[in-house]
Amino acid sequence: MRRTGGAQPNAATPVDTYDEFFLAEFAGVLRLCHGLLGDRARAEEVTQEAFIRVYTNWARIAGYDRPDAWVRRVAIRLALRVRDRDRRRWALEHAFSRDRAEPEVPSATDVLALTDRLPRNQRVAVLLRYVDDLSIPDIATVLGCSEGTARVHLHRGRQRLAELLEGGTA
Amino acid sequence: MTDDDQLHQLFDRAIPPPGDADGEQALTRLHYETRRREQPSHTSRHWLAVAATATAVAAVIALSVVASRGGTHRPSSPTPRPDTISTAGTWFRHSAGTVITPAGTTINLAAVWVVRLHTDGSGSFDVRPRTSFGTGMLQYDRASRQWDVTLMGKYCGTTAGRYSISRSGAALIFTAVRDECQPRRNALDGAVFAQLTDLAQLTG
Repeated sequence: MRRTGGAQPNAATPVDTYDEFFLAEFAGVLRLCHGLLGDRARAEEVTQEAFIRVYTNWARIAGYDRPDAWVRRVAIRLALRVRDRDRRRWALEHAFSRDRAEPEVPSATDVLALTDRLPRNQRVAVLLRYVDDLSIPDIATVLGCSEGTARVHLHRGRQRLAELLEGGTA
Repeated sequence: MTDDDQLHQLFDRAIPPPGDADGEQALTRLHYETRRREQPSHTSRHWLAVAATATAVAAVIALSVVASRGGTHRPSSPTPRPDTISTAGTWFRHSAGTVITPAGTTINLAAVWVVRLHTDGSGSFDVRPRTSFGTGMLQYDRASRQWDVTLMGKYCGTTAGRYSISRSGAALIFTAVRDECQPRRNALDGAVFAQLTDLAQLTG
């Protein structure tokens, strides 16, 4: 396993242990949220919220086998919720407008916008692999599925993303 | 077909990794935010303040009544104990600049320092980013009224430096008495700390 090396629970100094865990995982979770939301500021908010939830339950979560996977699951859930809420708000704001503005079609080089067109699990698998550098077993742990299923999500997502990047944005 | 390396590069360009300092700042913000959420709401604080004021007014009135009845109330002036630690509390400072060690290593002193001094004569340092400075300890020597400081072990090892700590108005000032470790002496000698009353001061 790539992670959790510096994040083993330590009853004597729980806060210090949490700090180590935070510093070890912060960058990965922030980049993952950035990939899901396409916006650094929103990603920072969601990342902070996810880590606060870990902090408030640290006595329990520190005992988990994979607290790193737990914080990623929370962050993904929060990020997707924020993204869906933003989309609903956008749709409401534009539902009755005369110009019927459509969202911009992303260019073939805008990898984040193109990733956003993938189905949810494929998108998350692609980001976990190429942004967070996780292995297939780790992706499966975060997604809560079997390694075979994670591999399929990643393969299909990667294939579709490659098509979009090569210009097939339809 | 886009290969793995290309995808890694594309995502790396689209999402640049945050630096170590970003993580440290985010951690400070997180501690501040969790404390803020744990505090009672503004409304509760308001009513607590009203209740405290009312209690204080009632106490003053009661004392006035007792005094007007002929009581000879003489306020006692507490005799300060010679070893009273008047510097107890939590203090902070933001530092900047660099220092060059005798070995020629340049140390970036940009950091947020928090020092906690306790009435029992113990104390601790917490300096962010921890990767550069780490934590440290202070121990009060009642005979000399000075503090032994172990900090910056990366550069100073376990050898303690001796400092006197005094208050000047609202500030706390460190003065080196004896410290063989030059980086620590440069960082601490003459360093002025302010009282930490709000965690937002650490990010400010």
